[in-house]
Amino acid sequence: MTQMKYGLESDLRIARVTFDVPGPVNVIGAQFIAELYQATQRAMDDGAAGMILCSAKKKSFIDGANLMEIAKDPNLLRIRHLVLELHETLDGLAKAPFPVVAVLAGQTALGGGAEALMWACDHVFATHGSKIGLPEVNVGLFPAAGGTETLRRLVGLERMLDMVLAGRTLGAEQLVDCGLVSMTRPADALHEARQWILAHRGVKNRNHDPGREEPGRLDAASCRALLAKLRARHEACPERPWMKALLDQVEEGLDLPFDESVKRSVDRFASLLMDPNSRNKIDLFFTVTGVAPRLVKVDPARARRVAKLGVLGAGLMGQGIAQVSADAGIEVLLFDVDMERAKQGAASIGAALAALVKKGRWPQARMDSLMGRITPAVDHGLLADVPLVVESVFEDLDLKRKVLASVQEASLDIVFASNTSTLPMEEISRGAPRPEMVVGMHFFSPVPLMPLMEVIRGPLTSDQALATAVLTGRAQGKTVIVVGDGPGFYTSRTFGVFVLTGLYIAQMGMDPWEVDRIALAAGFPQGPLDVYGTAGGNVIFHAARAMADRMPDRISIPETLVRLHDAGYVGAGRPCFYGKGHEPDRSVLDLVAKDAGRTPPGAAEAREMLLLSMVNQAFLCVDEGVLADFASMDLGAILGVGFPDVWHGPARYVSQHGVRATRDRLHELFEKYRIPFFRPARTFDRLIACGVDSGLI
Amino acid sequence: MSTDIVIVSARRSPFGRYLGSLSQMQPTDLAVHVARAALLGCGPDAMKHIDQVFVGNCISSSFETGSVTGRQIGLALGLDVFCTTVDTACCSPLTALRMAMWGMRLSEIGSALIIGVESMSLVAHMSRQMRTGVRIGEVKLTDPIFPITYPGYNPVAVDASDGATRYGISRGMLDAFAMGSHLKWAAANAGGRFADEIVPVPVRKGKEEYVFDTDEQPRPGGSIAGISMLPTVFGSSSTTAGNAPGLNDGCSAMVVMTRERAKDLGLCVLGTVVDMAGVTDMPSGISWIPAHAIRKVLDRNELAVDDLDLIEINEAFAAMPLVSTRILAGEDEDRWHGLLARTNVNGGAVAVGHPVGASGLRIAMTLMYELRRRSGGTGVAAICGGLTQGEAVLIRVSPEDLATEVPA
Repeated sequence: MTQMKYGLESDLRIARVTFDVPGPVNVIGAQFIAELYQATQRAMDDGAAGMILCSAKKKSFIDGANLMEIAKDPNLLRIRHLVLELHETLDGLAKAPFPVVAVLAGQTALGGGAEALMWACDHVFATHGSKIGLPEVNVGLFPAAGGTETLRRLVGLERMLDMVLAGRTLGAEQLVDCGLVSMTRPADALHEARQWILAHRGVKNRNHDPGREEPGRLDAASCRALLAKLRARHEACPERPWMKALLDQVEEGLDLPFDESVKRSVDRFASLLMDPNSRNKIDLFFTVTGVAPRLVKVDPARARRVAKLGVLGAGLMGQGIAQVSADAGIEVLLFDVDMERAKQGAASIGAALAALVKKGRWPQARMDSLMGRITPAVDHGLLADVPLVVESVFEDLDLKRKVLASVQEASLDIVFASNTSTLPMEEISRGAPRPEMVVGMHFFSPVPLMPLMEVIRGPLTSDQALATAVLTGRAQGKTVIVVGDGPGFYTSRTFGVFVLTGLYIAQMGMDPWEVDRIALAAGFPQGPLDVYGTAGGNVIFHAARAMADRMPDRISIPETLVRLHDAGYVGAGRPCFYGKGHEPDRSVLDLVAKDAGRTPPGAAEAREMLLLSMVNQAFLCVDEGVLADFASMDLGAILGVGFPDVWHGPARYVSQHGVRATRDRLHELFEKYRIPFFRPARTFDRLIACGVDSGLI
Repeated sequence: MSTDIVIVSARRSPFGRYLGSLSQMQPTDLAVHVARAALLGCGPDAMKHIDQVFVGNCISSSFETGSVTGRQIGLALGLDVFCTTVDTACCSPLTALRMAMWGMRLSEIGSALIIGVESMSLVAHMSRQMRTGVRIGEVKLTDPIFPITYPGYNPVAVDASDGATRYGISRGMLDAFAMGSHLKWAAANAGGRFADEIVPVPVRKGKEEYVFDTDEQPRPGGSIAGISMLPTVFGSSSTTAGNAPGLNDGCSAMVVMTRERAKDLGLCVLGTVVDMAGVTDMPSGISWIPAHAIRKVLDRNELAVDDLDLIEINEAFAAMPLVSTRILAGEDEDRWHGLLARTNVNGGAVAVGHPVGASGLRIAMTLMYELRRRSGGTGVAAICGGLTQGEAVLIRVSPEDLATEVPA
């Protein structure tokens, strides 16, 4: 056996299977399944009194299916076979005449790993830091090794749905109350597992025990009502067939015996793997986990070591930046114009975290040590020995320059990172004593949740400033892309045209809320008009102005945006397209301009316009040298600005539609609507000339 | 220049990956196999009508005995005619063709068999220490193909990327063109567009026996994003394993004769070699030398770039076709794109592979066959060679040439 070790403890006759798949983590592939089956047979031949499953990896128990193996040769028959084999193997283990116990030593059991625990194991002993989760929906799949069934039998329908629909991973502690897990100390884990086995000889696997009651079981009508509600929300976008597959699997499982129910998942899973959108999601997973860390190469020797950092501006963004920095172990000085505001900023962080602790999502100790690293401050003189400052003051060029001057007065050696979303580094640093110390660190709101950081390299930015920004971003847990300088860089520009396109379509006469519905159905996380309200109309207006002033041939502003702005109809607490309970606020219709003589596009064309305006803007960034590669393009669009993940990103979208077809369609839209951001990027012409119609990423 | 020279047959082996299908086949055997197929294409008595043989080959140390390799091949073919072996690096087989052209223009010969062959997998490591013995210290084995470089000059990978930089061609464009090469090859292969030129080769490799019939190096399933992740090599600023060909094995062969001879023998004419040109520049100018060669041959024949229906520029690196077409197009970006769209339409060496001594003849025949597929026209195939020499061949397929069926 090459992926696990089998051993029989001679005194107690307990079989121990230790997973150790070549590679960084344990994953389930054909070989793994075959070996687990062999191990089970061997334990039976040995007349084992029980079996302990454990892992030789530091962090991984089993982290799901071997997606690389599956994606390499997606073949319907092969995948069906693989899933059936896994079912048979877990079933064999579950029905073995001895207790099966797993030990999680601070390791993760994800996807198929968690399903193995819940199906085949009678009990789990976990140490602090162990995690269990079913994140399948995050890679365009659903739990197909009985996960929905086994978890429902453990925690009930509602908790199960909450976990699988969000692809949530839980601390093992959270599965203690349902009886699956006992927490233990590392030194005691194996001993306790042995004791449990000896005390539970002849235990019946809970999934095959007809006498077992599901906790908090709802009556049939309530189940149906709950599922109908969830279907309305999660199936609004038909581009995510895995959501429907998941809910179908759950619903059928309610009325079927366990064995029957898991059988249904075989074909459902195999056909999902043939779906191009699921494949895009799987690839996106590898792009984020495998490509992104290698995408940006900086020399750590050039970077300044950041043990302490100054955050200028204790507003919402500043608080977020302070939080993720302190959470990464960095000492933070949180500045604002007066001490009261600085303290208030710190207090807001504390309040938000306290809520998380209360919900059980965060340990108290983590919050305490984090808060201990945040110090409110006012006097820039305190910055003298700080290697890095991140400013997140109001988006105003003069203000940013003033702040930069003040920081460089404190010390000329500080790397000055601007968290601007639109203002070019070249403009911020112009006239500064050391412009080469200025770099962009563009965070996304809410900072603790958004995974992306766009690092902006200005024309004068030094290698030192760049390396410091990149490595700090990574330390803060962000996926970092590096882009060139320019108004709105990459993400803000691309995000901006999404909202502007939505407004244009509305003023062509389409019902604004219909525009949002079309966007949601296309896979955007939010409609453009909803974004207008939640991001804040003022922010959108000023960003659009800043970009349109600097790139009049690329960005134009719809009349409606000006009217909304002038009327103070700007969201962010004030009226926007949606009122209470997310109901449409029809009063806005008076402010929507009417484009005379234009018929509104049909739903299909509107959908295309929303997607293509972003796609084209991304490719214009390649024209201008703002973007240097397609991996950054796709990562930035998905992780930063909500391009539909089902496409993997603009570059994959173009690959799948054809470069020529995309350019020609953009050209048609430009001719029809004369909106500048539909004028096709030159990069399309270049790719076509090179003979490239697909294969961008 | 009045002698009309025509191509009556042209064949090549599929190109093998480094240490791949052709790696255990002696270059002599490979050349004989491909040349026989080319000769068969000109009827049963072809052997009798070959006046001379010209063989292009760059790295003769892949042969068991690296001298008079042309004569070795000629004898193995059963052709007791004068055989000339030419080494002008990657220009070799086109220089061989040009020498045959001289011979025919001077009326010294009326026909010739041209061969280009390279077995890079079989190139031996070298040691000069063994002859005198090693008293103390390490024994050094140098590798003539890694990197391919000439004493006192930059590695060609560096010159190629410097050329790209000089003409404003970004890494992204190099990588896109490289990916395009794979995609164009895949489309051509799927459409059966290599059937005219490829001779399948029976391969015995270890215990495996099979018929090798498809180029081995192309990777159409890759992506620009994947290529752009590769590190630069040999200290160049933009050359990577992704925008360069590999080290490959392969052979091309062509039979040319005067139109008169072809008519006398009743042979079909595939295309006409209108003219050829060889040029040089300073050794670092390797990326643009194909443009100079093309200009020279066009000027001499009073043709303009816009008169060309198709262009082949060998992808020694993706920089070569990009830099050269950019020069030929002048400053006009649209014109450049237009030229690129007519260049290497079935993919180039980045995809097909670059057995250095065989590629020149491959691009000439692939150009000719594609012109035939497009109902004739005029095209040019150009290649750069080590230390910056360039060859270009101007080929025309006229309506009367099209009347002949390509023999299977």
